[in-house]
Amino acid sequence: MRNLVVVFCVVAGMTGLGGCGGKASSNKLTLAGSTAFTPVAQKLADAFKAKHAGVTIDIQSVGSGVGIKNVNDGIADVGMADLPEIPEEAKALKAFSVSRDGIAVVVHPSNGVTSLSMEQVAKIFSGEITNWKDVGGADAEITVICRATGSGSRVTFDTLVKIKGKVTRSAQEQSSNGACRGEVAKNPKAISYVTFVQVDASVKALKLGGVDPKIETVKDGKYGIAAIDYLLTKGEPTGLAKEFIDFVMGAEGQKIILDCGLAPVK
Amino acid sequence: MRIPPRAVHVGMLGILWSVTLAAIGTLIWIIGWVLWHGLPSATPHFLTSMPQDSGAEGGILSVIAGTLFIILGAVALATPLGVGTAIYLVEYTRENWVTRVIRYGADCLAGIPSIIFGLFGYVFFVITLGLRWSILSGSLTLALMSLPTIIRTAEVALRSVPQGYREVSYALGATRWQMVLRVVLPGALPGIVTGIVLALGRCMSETAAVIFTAGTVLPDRIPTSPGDSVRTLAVHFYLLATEGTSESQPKAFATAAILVLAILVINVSAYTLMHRFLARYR
Amino acid sequence: MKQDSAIRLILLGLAMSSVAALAVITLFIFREGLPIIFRQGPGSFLFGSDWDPGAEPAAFGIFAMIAGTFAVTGGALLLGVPVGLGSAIFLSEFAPRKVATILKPALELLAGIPSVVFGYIGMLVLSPFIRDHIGGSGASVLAGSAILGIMILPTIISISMDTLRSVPRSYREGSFALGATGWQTTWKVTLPAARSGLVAAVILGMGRAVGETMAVIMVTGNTALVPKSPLSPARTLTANIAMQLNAAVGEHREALFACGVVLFVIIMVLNTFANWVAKLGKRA
Repeated sequence: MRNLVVVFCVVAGMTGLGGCGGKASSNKLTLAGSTAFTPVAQKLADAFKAKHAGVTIDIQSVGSGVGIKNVNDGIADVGMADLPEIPEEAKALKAFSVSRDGIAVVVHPSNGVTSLSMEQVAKIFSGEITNWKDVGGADAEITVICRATGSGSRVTFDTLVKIKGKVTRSAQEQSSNGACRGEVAKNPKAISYVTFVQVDASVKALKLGGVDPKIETVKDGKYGIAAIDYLLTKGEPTGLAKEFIDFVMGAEGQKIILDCGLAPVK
Repeated sequence: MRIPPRAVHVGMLGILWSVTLAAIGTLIWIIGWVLWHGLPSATPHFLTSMPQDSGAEGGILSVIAGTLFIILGAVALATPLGVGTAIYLVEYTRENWVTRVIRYGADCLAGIPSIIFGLFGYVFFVITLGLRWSILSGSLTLALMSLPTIIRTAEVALRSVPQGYREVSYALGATRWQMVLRVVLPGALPGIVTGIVLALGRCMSETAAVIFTAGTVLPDRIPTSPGDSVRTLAVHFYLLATEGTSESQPKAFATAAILVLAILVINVSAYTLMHRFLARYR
Repeated sequence: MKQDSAIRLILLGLAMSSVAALAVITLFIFREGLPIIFRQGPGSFLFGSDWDPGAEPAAFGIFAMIAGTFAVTGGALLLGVPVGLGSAIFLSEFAPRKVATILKPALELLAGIPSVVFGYIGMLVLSPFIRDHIGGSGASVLAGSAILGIMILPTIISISMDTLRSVPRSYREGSFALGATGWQTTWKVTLPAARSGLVAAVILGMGRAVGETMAVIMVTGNTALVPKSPLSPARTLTANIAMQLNAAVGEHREALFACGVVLFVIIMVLNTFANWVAKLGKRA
């Protein structure tokens, strides 16, 4: 028992210390949420800090769901979520939609397929179509790779592609966009989805129902799979949180968003 | 036909030689592969500048600082507990059910997978105690994890101090505590330090327990308080490797090379220390 | 004398820290994880084949992950045990003293290499190799087993070597005096004498493989299906927890802690068993 007391004294003492660096200071802002939006938020934060000396912004890349929960619990000041719409558990929060983020369906560069219809994508991911030859490719079994359950990109993708039933149980799962892209880059038979920001030369982004995956097509709504990026606060944002959100919604913030490959809302 | 025993002996020896060489070869290849890919990008500038653009540009200075704070904090918390345990086991008690319980506790703690420590640290330190993702939460979690290592090496070190030293000390009229403080601890110090250094290495290479307790913030400054959230080198490497864009891969390799080099240095110095220490009493 | 007993009490307090830590960890993991197991029924949780936290209603059956864990661990043992025991026997029985004093610590260095580094190598080198030369998508039980097989070597080697070295010299000398070769001595005398310690080494290696997380996530593909062959992808309990903890809220999070409970129980059983076997040997 005695040692428990010792441990708790140490913990309590250090908590006191820790407290000073925590929420108390008014020039620190904690963002938490979407792994997909994190790099963009990092760029926004860098630009914001350049204009506001002495400000620190911590960005926790923890996934949309946990981000929302953290704002509710008061662990984070601003939540980040990339979802098709505001979910039930975030209805009580104040939400700002700051951009739209297209999700590209990607395959290996050597794959002969260049375009799929929304329906074909849904059938591939639900396991109805299992061979590339059924969608105009070579005779090879399709390796389906998706994001982990609960990630914003997964929710957006499953909802907007209207996967009937469930995602096939033989799908592989990865915990981030980068990991999905990495797997597809190595596997000629793989298909997955990543946000536009993550698309590079190592993978090929498919046309969706004949529409190119581009910022313009996301903006005019022709491209079918795009998440809305939300910044969320508990109640009206105040202080630094308000300044940051205003900055993101302003001309400069929206320009940075566009440069990152997302469709700004303005 | 019966194979002559001599031939069996030679054959088996060959097989044993080759599996050992295979194991050593794998080790050398792994270390070589990481250093070969990583060292070219691990420039002095990389070590001394702050990360930019989510780690795709710039260096890892704040990550190095965060790693040091977390692992030093962990060891600072675990050392008094671990060494105290060892002193109790060696100097203050005989084998009985209490020591068996203590040893069983330490053994079990040593076997618990790091992800369980991560889960625990997340509910207990981050949420229940309200420490959030912070250096402190990370250090506390790692302290629990490295406790068995420190206990075990300290115990070995204390036991290797010759019994005669203790007897002389008593003969001179010292109390037990004076004997421990003035004679046994100084004699066992290098061995105890070895354990601490090994624990530093173990903490440094840990990912699963840290990522859920210290968070994933990539700071662009040296952390100033135990309440700050940071990445350790291992976490930074993991996130760059799996979440980063293709452009950030050279930085991922460089981080891995620095991590592996640091751990090599730590382990080799721990080993040399222990070797010298044991030689002293042989 | 009063001071002495006070110090003794304080030290006892410190010494109970690891026991207390173990108790608090157990308490919290079980408190978070047990309710959902009993709400759903242990049978359907452990042997349910469907893991789909996103569905309505959510399904939490972890049989595929248990199977994945044991498949990957079994493979790791197939690779790690012969190589590990072989190296340990060589280094303790046959290698020149100088070679052994250099190679043993070198092999123990393997334990220091971070699991993320193993995972990265597996991801970039091993799974593409498996896909191109053996088959499947590369991300597979085989890749996970190979990486884990290497990762458990230091555990197996160092515990086995300690056991082998503790076999009294006189045993071996007796055997040599009867004209036995080095291998006959090892096979007929040393190994049987060290048997229980070697078994403990293998079980502890198994525990390490079951508990490994980051390296496995990066190479096994994480499909929540019972693997059909070494080339099928698989998801382990640890991977299931680490991959989804960041995205999980509510019941889903509880279910992940429940996976933690199962993992915890498996590890405790293995450790206790290893402890028991090792003690058997000491008594004999």
